Amino acid sequence: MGTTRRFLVPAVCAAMALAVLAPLFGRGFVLVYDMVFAPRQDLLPDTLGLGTALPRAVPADAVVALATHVVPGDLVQQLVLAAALFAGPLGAARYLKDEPPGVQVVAAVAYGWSAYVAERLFIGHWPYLLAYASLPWIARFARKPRTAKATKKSTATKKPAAAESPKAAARLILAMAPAVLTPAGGILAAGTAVVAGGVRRLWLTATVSVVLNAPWWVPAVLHPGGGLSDSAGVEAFGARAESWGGTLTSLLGLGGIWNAEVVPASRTNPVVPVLILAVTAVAIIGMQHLPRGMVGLGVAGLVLALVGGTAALGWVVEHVPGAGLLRDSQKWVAWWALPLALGFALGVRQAAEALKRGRKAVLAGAAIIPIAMMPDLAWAGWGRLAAVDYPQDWAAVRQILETSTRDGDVVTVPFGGFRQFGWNDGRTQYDPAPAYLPRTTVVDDTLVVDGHPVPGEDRRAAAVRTALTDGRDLTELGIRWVLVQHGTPGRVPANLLISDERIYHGRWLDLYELGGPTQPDTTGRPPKAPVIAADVLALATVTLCLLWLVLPAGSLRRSSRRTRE
Amino acid sequence: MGKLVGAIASVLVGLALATGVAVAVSSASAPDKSVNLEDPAAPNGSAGTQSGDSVNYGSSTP
Repeated sequence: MGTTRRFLVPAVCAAMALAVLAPLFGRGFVLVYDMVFAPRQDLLPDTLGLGTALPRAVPADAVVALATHVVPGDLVQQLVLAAALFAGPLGAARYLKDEPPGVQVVAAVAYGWSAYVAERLFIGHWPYLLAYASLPWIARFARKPRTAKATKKSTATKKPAAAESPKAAARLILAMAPAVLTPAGGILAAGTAVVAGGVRRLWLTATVSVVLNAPWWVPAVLHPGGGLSDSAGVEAFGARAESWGGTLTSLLGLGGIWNAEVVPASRTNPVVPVLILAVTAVAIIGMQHLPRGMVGLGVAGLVLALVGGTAALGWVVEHVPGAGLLRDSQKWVAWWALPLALGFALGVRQAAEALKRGRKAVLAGAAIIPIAMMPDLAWAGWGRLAAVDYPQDWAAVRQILETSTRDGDVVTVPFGGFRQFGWNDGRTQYDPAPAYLPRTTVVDDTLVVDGHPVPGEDRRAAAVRTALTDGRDLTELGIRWVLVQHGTPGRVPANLLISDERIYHGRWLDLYELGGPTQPDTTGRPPKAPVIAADVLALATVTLCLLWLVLPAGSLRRSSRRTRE
Repeated sequence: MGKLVGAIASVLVGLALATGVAVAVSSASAPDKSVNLEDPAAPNGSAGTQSGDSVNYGSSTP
């Protein structure tokens, strides 16, 4: 019986992850919207934030590049997704480790089977899934060592924090590490750590947040582009209503992402807003047992998501460097997910305690509700996602670029960020060239939403766009190769490739090598030294913490003390 | 109090299950399977035109 109780929660979490990801296991890549993995990715300047674009996927791209030098890219992708979908619900359950297993299961299901997980998975935001999975662990370890009893009692009864132990700090840092792979994930993690740790541990949580997030904020601050964004993206990427319940109800239910194409069909069911409000009402009852800071941060996330599409934010994005991070405002409801799931579980427990019998049935029913509300997350969104192989053309082009001794970068045409290839069943996906090819690849960073362009910030991409339009020589911009991708919407400029040499021709790809000398690209980039120093500092911090926990450092210290005595 | 909690819980679980079953049935029966996806009205990213110059990152309307 004890063993059953012990493994019940991990088994439920594993079953949920399997229920979603089972069709994706095996060889092949899940390529959808922003999620692009390749068999082997290279550590190029852009992956470290040293390119001409703002460091939006830094250091995620660098970490994946390092990982794919050890493990094939498709396995890396599967491990990342499985870890995110397993660890998130387990963390929510472990936060309530003093509660009965049934209550923990309710928390795990409410956290793990959520619209946030579904929508971010379907749009390919895997770093956000990792950040989401990390938040319960961060909240737990940031509060240590007074976590255990405080979850059962009101936070009003504050206990004095025990002396800081290096192991507790190491656990917090390791919990934050998966979340800081992107700027937004890093901010989600930092906010959770700072609020959960409170004033007493601010020195630790703030320091750790600054150090671990350095790989993206250092290149962002030093980026010569200024970090300003176009306000057109504010409205395009604002949270939206998924049903008659309105935007607030969608956000309360952890949905409301800007892109209607990635919303599960069940979220538009007319009954869902009623269920969302009922779950929220139960959660509010349970939230009285949670730290006020956690609930306050959740409400702040809701507010940020709500104001995300307003004109005021548009002004901020245009005038405050880095404020473009606030676009795609629904991502901030990740802060609401934890109090919602934990509050719901504790509220259900409170309701069950009012019953003389049938308590287990109430807990079981509560655990079923999130799944029944959104069954179309299961089985990779019922076929929405699938693992596919890259056509052989990609490996052939990579081989040519790898063996070439000539300098220069690659530009891909049609000049647009997203593709819809027949070999990927027409799914919208980001251009795989920057991840797949061993050379810096310039991709248009203009995003088209509802047919309307949202301008990007990369000055080099803008220069290439102008050159393509005007028919100017691309070698002046440091471009040596042009990769033409077939079988995806978009036009190839007719005058671009007439006089140049085609060195590879395939069904899906053609590669052209431009003649003449290439001029070095002069677009501004962040300086290398501080960016690399920031990377080394963050990596060393995580490595030291890992070693501290894995190696018997504490026992060695104790034994040396005993020897002295 | 116990009866009230039981009744509310039953209603909520029933509604959720009904939603799940409805979504599952409508998805399995695929009522839109006869839609001609080979010749859509306007390609993605064309803003209602047939230019097909770029692929939409997404859409704010279902």
